[in-house]
Amino acid sequence: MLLRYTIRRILWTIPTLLVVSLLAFLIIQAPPGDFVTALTAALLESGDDVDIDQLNALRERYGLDQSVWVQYWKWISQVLIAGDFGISFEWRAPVSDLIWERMGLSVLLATATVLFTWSLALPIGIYSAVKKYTIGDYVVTTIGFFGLATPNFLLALILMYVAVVHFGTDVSGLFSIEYQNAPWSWAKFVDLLEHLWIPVIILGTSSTASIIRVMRANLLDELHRPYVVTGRAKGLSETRLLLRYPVRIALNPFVSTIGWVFPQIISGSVIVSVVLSLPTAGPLFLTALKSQDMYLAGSFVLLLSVLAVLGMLISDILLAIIDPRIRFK
Amino acid sequence: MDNAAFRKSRLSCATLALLASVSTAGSAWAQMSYQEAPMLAERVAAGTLPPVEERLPNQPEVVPMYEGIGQYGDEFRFGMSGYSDHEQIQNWAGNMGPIQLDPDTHYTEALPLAAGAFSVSDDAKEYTFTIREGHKWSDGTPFTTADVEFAVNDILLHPDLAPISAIWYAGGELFELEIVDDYTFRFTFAESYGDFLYEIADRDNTHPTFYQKAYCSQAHPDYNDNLDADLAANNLTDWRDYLLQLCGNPSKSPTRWGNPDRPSLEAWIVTEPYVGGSTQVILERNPYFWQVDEEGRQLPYIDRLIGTVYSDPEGLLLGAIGGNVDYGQRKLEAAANRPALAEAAPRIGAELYDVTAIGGSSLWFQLNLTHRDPELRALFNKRDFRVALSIGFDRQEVIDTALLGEGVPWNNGPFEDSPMFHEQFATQYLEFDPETANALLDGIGLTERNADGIRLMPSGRPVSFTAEITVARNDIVDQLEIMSAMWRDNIGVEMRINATERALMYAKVDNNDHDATAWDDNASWGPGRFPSSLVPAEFNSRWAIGYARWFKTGGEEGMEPPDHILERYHLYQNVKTSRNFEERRANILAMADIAAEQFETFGVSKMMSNRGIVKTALRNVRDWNPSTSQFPPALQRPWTFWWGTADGNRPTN
Amino acid sequence: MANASTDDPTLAPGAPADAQDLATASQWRLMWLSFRKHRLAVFGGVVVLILYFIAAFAEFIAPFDPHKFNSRSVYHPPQMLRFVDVGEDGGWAIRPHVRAMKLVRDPETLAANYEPDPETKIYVRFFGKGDPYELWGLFPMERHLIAPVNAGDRFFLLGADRLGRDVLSRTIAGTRLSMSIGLVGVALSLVIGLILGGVSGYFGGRIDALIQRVIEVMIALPTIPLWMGLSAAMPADWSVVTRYFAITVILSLVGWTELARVVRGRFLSLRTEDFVVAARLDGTSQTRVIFRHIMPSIFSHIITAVSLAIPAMILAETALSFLGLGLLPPAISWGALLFEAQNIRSIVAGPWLFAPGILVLIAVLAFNFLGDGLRDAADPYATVER
Repeated sequence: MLLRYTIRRILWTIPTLLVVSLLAFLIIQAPPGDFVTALTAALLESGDDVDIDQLNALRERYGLDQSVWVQYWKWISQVLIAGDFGISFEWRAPVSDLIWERMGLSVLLATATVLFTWSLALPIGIYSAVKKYTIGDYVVTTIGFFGLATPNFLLALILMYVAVVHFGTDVSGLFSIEYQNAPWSWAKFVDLLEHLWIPVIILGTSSTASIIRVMRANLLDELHRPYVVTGRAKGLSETRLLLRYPVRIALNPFVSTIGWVFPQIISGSVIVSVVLSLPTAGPLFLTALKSQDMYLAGSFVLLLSVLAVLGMLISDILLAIIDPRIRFK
Repeated sequence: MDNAAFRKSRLSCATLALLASVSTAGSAWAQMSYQEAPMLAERVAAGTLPPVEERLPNQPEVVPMYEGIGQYGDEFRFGMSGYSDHEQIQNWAGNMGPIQLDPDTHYTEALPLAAGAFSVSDDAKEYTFTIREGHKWSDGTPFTTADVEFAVNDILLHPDLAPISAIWYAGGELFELEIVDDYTFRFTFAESYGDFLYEIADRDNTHPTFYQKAYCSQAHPDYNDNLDADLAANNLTDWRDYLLQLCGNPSKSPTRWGNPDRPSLEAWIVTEPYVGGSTQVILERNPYFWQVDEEGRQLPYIDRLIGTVYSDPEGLLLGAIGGNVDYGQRKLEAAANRPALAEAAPRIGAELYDVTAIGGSSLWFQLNLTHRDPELRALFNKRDFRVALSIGFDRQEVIDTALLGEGVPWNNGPFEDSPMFHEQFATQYLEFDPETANALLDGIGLTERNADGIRLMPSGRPVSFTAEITVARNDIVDQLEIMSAMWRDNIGVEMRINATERALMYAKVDNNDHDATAWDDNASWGPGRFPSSLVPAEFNSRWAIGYARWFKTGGEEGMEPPDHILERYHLYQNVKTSRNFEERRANILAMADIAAEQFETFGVSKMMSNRGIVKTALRNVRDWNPSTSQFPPALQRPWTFWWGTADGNRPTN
Repeated sequence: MANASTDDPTLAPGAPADAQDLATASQWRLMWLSFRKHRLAVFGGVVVLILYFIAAFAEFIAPFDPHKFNSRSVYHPPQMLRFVDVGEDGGWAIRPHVRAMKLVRDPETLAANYEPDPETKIYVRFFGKGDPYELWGLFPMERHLIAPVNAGDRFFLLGADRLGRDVLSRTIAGTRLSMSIGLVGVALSLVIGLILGGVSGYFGGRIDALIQRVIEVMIALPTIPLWMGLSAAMPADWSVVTRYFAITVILSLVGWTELARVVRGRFLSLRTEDFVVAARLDGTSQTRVIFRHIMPSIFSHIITAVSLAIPAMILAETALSFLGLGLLPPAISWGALLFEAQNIRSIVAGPWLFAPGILVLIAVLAFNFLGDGLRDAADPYATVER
C-alpha cells in the first residue's frame, strides 16, 4: 500500500513541475521590456551614455525577439534532454556554473536555521503547554511571536548597523574579507559563526512562533489522554512521563514537515540575504529577476520549485509512514 | 586672463616641462636602476620571473608623483554595490587605453598611455602612435602593432561582433588603419576630427590596446581551426561567447575580470576572478607593468586590490562605515549618506573629501515635447507653458527641504568657471514669480479651472501629467513632490509622480510613452560627453525622443523636427569635426544660444559637490575629484597610490 | 424543583447553576466563555479593534496633514507631551504643551541638529482646530483629536522625517491602507479558498486530486518572482487606489492556498460525521447540507484561519514595498513608510522613523494572540476544562 501511494505521488509531481516551470517562465517575462531594456536602464542610471544600436544587436543575438513560447520551449527542452540550464545574459556563462555554489550556501544557512529554531522552539512549546495560561506561558509566547511580527529586513538592517558601529565587527556576507578565500581552518570556522548568527536569528525567529504554537497545541491534545493518567498513576515522575510519551507523539507531525521546511526557509531568506549581502541564492536570484536574465532566473525558480515539490512529497510520504490512515484514502 | 590665453600659456609651460623631463629622463633612463616590489623580487630569486630590467620596456613611462615617491605596500580595499557594479573594478584597476586625460589639467588635455607617444596632424585628420620598444603584456610576450592590427581589424571591425560605435567615423566614413612598422601605427580620417583623442580616452573605446593576438585569436574563427572542438569542450556554441569569456571587451562587460589567464597591459591582473555570483574579486600586481616612478621603482606600489561585493547601496555604506572601503565615491557620495560617513570617519582613520560637480543640475526636468497625444504635445510645445512651470515654484524651498539646504538655483548647464558657461541658458527663469506664471498661463488660454483648482485645457481635460522616475532615487522623488505641491497650490497645474522599477521606467520612456521625466545631469558639454540638453541626437534627450529617433534613423522613423532643432544638428556635426578647442567651444555656444531661446527644459539647483570617503593614510590622492562617471578615479592613476604608514602596509584599526 | 424543560438530564440534580448554564449553552456562548479565559487573546482583540478605529478616523486622530512638508523641521526629534505647565511666577496649571526646538544645520556634515529652545512652548489642546481635511473624502472638517493652540505651530510627538513631515500623522494615516489591505486581501482569499477547498473536500476523488495539484503548483511557485512579475506587469499609470487594489489581489492570489487546505481538511473529516449522513438520509439537498450543516461547524476554524492570515498579509505588504513593488511613496502605508526608512541614514539621523515598524509589530502580535485564542476556543466540545 505504501509503495503504491508513493508511486502515485511521485507520478503526480512530474506534471506539477512542468506546469510550474512554464508558469515561472511566463511570470518572469511578464514585466514590460526584456533583459536588454533592463541593461540599458542600468547603464543610464549610472550616468553612462548608451549606444542604442549595440544594445539592439544584443537583443537579436540573445533571441529575445522571438515569442515567449518559443523561448520557453527551447529552454525546457535543453534542461530536460541535456541538463543544460542555458546561459546567463549578464555573465555570459552557463547558468549551472553560477547556481550550484550559491544553492549550497543557501542550504547551509537553512540547515543552521532549522537546527537553531527547533532547538529553541520545541522546549518553549513544551513549557508553554505544560504551564498553560500562566504568566510564564504568556511571556514565552509573546517573545516567540515577536520574531514573527517584526519585518525581517528591518531587523536585519538594524542589527547590522549595531554590529558594525557598536561592536566594530564586519558582519556582512558570510566571511570576513581576510577569510573569504583562505583555506578552511578553525579560525575560518569561528569567523563563519560570527557572521552566521545574525541571519540565523533573523530567519529563525520568524518560524519559531509557529513551531511553538503547533507544539503547544499537539502536546495539549495529548496531555489529557488516558495513558498519561495511567503513567502518572504508575508512579513515573512528571518529567520522565512528559518526555517519554506525550512529547514523542506530539513530535510526529513535525517529522513530516521536515521535507517542507527547507524550501520554505530558502525562499523566505531571499530578502534578508539581500540586506545582509550573503552569498546565497537570494541576492543573485533577485538581481536576475529584476534584470530579466531569463534563464538564470528561470533556473532558480525551477530549482526552488523542485525543492518545494520534493519537500511536499517527502512530507507526505513520511506522514503516510507515521499515520496509516492517510494511505487508505 | 581669459581661457584661451590661459590654456595657451599652460600648453607652452607643459611643453617646456615635457621637453625638460624627456631630456633629463632620457639620461635618467640610461642611469636608472630599477627596483621592484618584494613579492616580485622573491619570484625573481626563485627563478620563476625574469629580472625587472627585462620586464620593463626599454624606456618605461616615468610617472610624476602628485604627493611624493612612495613605498611598496600590501593591499587596497574597495566595495561594489549590487551584482552589476563591475564598473567599480574598472575604476581602480584602470584602463590602459591608448590615451589618458590629464588629471592635473582637469581632464582637458590628452597624454600618452599604453599606445605610446602620439602626434596629431595639423588638420586633425591623422593620428600617429608609437608603441614603446620592449613593452610587454602581462604574460611576458611583446606588445606590438600585430596586436593592434588584430584588435582593430579582426575584432573592432568584425561584422558579427557589436556594431561599430559612431566615434570611429568622421564625416560619415570609417577610419583607415595603417601599420607603419612593428611599433608605429596611424589612424587616418576623411575629415577633421578634433574630438578623436577624447573619444578614445573613454574607457569604452580602448580596443586598440585591449586584445593580445596570440591569446585572443584562440576564440576567433579566422585563426583557430579547432574552434568547434574548443567550443564544445567549454559547453558553448557561439564563438562570440567564447571570445567574451576569454578576453572580455572594453565596454561594460564583466567577463574581462573573469579570466585570470587573460593577458593585459593593466597595473593589476585578476587572481580571484569576478564571475556571476562572486562576492569578492582580487587583483594582484602585473609583473610586466610598464610604468616606474622617478626613482625607478616599478609601479604599482600596492600589491593587491580586494573588491567586496555588497548586495545593495546600504550594504556598501555599511562596509564603508566598517572601514572596508579605502577610497569610495561611486554610490557612496550622495548627500544623504554624509552624516553616517562623517560619524564613522574618525573611528576608521578616514576623512571625507570633496566630490566636485563640474556642471549640471540636481534635477533636470524634461517635458516630452514629442508626445504622441496631440493635445499634450501642443501644450508642452508652448514656450510660455514651460516658462510658467519654471517660475511657478520656489527653488529655494526645494533646496532647503529636499537637498539638505545645499544648493543654488540653476538650469542644466555648466558652471560659471567652465569655459562652456552660457549665462542665459544656465540662469534664466530661476526666480519664483507666481503672478507672472499665472498671467502666462492665462495668456495661452488656460483660463478655466475645475473644482480642485486645476486649470483646464480647451477640450476640458485638466492640465495634468505624470512624471516617470525610478524608485531608487529618493532625492529626485522628494524634489518632485515639493514641486508638485507648489504647482498645484500656486498655478493650478497637476503633476503626478510615478516612481517605478528602473527597467520599467526606461521601457516606457524609450518607447516615447511618457509625459515627463526628471533626472540629475552633469552638463559639462565637454568632449567625449554628449550635450543632451542642447540637441536631441541621442536617447538621453528624453525631452525629444521622437526627434532623436528621426536623427538616428536618418529620417525613417520618429518625428520630423522643426528648423531650430535641425540647425542644432548641423552645429552638432560641426562640433564633432572641430579641429581645436576654440572651434568646438564656438559651436557649442552657438547651440546653447538657440537652446536658451527655446527654453525646452529647466533645472532646479546646481549639482552640488558631494563627499566621498578616503583613508587618511592613503597618499597620491588628488584634491580635485569630479563627480561624473566620465572621469572615474582610474584617471587619477591609482597605481601611484601608496600607504603612508610605517611599514607601507594598509592600516588596520 | 428543577425545571424539566431546560435541565440537562445527564447532570446530577441540584448541580450548581453555572454548570447548568454550561451544559445547555449554545456553541457561541461556549466559545465566548473559553475565549475569555485567554487573557492575551482578549487583549489582542481589544488592540485590533483600537487599530481599526484609528484606521477609520485617521484624519481626525492625526494632528497634521501627513503630506505637509517643512524645511525647518527636517529630522526633528520627538517631543514629549507635558501636562504640567510651570509659569515664570512659579505657579502651575494643567496646560498640555511641548518644548520647542531649533534647527541648527552642521555645514560640514549636513546633519540636522536640534537644540532645545527653552523660551518657547508650543501649547496643544484636544479637539482643537487644525489642518482642514475631508473625513472619508466626504465631510469637510477641521477638528483634530489633538492640535496646536496657535494655528501655525507644529509639534512632533514622534518626530519628523527627512522632509519635515510629522511621523505620527503619517503613521496614523498609514494605518488605514495597511489594516484594510489585510481585510480586503483576506476576504478575497477566503472566497477562493472556501470555494475550492469546500469543493475539494466535499466531493473528494478526482476533483479533489486535481484541486490539490493546483494548490501544489501555487505553493511550489516561489512567491517573490510571482509578486515581481505581477506587480511589474501592472500598467504604471494607475492611481494609488487602483494600485492598492491590484496589490491586494496579488497578495490574495498567494494566500488562498492555506485557507483552502484548512477548509478542505475540515470538510473531509466532517462529511463522514453522523449528523451529515443523517441529513443526507433525510433527503436534504447537497447545497443545504453544505451551507446549513457543515459550514457552521467549520465557521470557527475559518475565523481562526482568517485572523491568522491577516497579519501575514500585513507583513507581505511591507515586504512588497521593500522590493519596490508594493505601495510606494507618495502613497502612505506602513510598507511605504518603512521603505523610506530602510536605510542607514534613518538609523543615524532619525531612528523614530521606524515607528511604523513598531505598529506593524503591534498589529501582527495582536492578530496572532486573537487568532490563538479563537483557535483554542474554536472547538468547544473537544477539551473539557477541569
